[in-house]
Amino acid sequence: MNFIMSFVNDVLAVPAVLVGLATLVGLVAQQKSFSEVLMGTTKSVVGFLILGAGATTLVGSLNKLGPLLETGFAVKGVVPNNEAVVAIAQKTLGSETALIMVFGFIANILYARFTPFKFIFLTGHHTFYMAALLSAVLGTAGLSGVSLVLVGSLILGALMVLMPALASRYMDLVTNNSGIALGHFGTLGYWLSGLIGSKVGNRTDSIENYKLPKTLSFLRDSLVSTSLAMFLIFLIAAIAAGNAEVLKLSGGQNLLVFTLLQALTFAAGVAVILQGVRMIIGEIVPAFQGIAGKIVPEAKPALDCPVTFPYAPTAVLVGFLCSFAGGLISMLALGSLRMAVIVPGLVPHFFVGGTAGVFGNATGGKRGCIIGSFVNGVLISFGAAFLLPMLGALGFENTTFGDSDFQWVGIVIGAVGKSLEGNAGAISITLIALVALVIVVSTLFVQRRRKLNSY
Amino acid sequence: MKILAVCGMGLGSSLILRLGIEGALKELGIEGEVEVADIGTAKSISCDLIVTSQQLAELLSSTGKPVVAIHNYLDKVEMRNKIKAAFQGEGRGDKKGGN
Repeated sequence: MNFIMSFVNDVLAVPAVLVGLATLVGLVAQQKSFSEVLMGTTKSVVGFLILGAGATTLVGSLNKLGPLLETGFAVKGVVPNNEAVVAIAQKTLGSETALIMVFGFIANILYARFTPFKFIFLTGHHTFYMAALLSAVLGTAGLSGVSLVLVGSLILGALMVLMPALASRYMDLVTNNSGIALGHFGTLGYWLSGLIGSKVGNRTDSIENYKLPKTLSFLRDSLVSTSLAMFLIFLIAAIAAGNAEVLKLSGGQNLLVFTLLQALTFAAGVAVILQGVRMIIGEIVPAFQGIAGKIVPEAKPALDCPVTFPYAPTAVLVGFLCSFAGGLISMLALGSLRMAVIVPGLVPHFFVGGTAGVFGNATGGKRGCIIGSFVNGVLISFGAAFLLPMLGALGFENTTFGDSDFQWVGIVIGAVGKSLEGNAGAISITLIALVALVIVVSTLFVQRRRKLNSY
Repeated sequence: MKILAVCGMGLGSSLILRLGIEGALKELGIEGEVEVADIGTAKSISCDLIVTSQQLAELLSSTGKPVVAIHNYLDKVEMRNKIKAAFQGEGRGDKKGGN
């Protein structure tokens, strides 16, 4: 009996096993063959273990960058990278994250069934990252155990229908009503870019009338762009910190060799983590889609942001450049405000900035694209800086979330937690009431708009 | 028959492509295995056919493998027709399937 109890307890405490169980249930529910069930379950468990291995590699590199930035510039420098912060979070909050992800999927199906927001969020890695963010900020606010998982799942499920709904009006403009919904947690920035575009520009003056040279295509390869960006960041930090500090950290290795190797080690860590994430979501998402399709057949699938890229490839590159420019200017502004300095990362600015460019272009042509994506770049830099104190112990790891929705959700929950001073019961009730309020208000809003449109 | 679904990070869009390809293979009655990959590692993975977006297709043309470029990820008809064309192209020894 003791053996069985300890077995059950340990199963529930190991996130890798939890993820495996969820995959197992999903695959069995779809009536997959024995070998498919075995393969899918094994892969998802191994994927989770790979995540931890990647985190160790990557933290080794980040722990060298932190002192360099602090010695060189006398500020706390932070590189936003979703993969890094999520992988680090799994070491302490793995079970909570796994449970919030699984129950968040279920909550998504229920919201899609019973509210007018008929979306099924299929961007599995973002569901996973949001679950990690929620476990971190709710944990920092003072929640734990059942209440943390319950509140986290209700919030996650709500975001999985509300963010695609927020993007939907502009998304229809982007895709010429092809029926694709956007499921990506950078949506606040896209919506803002679309809104700005509609105010400042003229959508018929599309940036797609211009052609850009193909030399920027290496940016699409995230491994290469991460390596390059990290090399530049390491190099600048190392030069600013001085050779003595570098030699202390490197154990005597040449400055140039050290910075190059550390940058490539960071990229290697990200590549390993991505492989783990790929294996975790590769089986869960199809299972989730299969089940959702039976319960809410009329729901629209909400997909990852690159689905918008074919509709405006020039806007993607211009959007990336303008968003990155916004990130650079914000970095200087944050430095002069003595806040944590957010070093703009190429990967978030490419995907999120590029998509913001597509949205701005769809509503406001070339002016919309440029201004909208620039504002997105400023938004995700300041969002990252304000999110940092809400992440508790994770905030000390020199990395944070790079996309706008992780940031605003973390900031709002952190603010609620602070104002209620760690009273877990009051925080849970306030957050659940907030979710209910947002769902009701947006339902009324959607119904009013539908009524207006039908006249 | 092994098909590789490729996107920038190998996380979101490639998984949607994989689901679309698996659906198309079933409809066409073709036996095949689909794997996802990111653009960085895609070139080093052996496969018989690559399915990806228009922009990434240009980067993958150097692999010498037939590349299918998909415009609308949810369009089942587009997916089925392009996969079918790629398979027929292979049968004729024409290595440039899709567009």
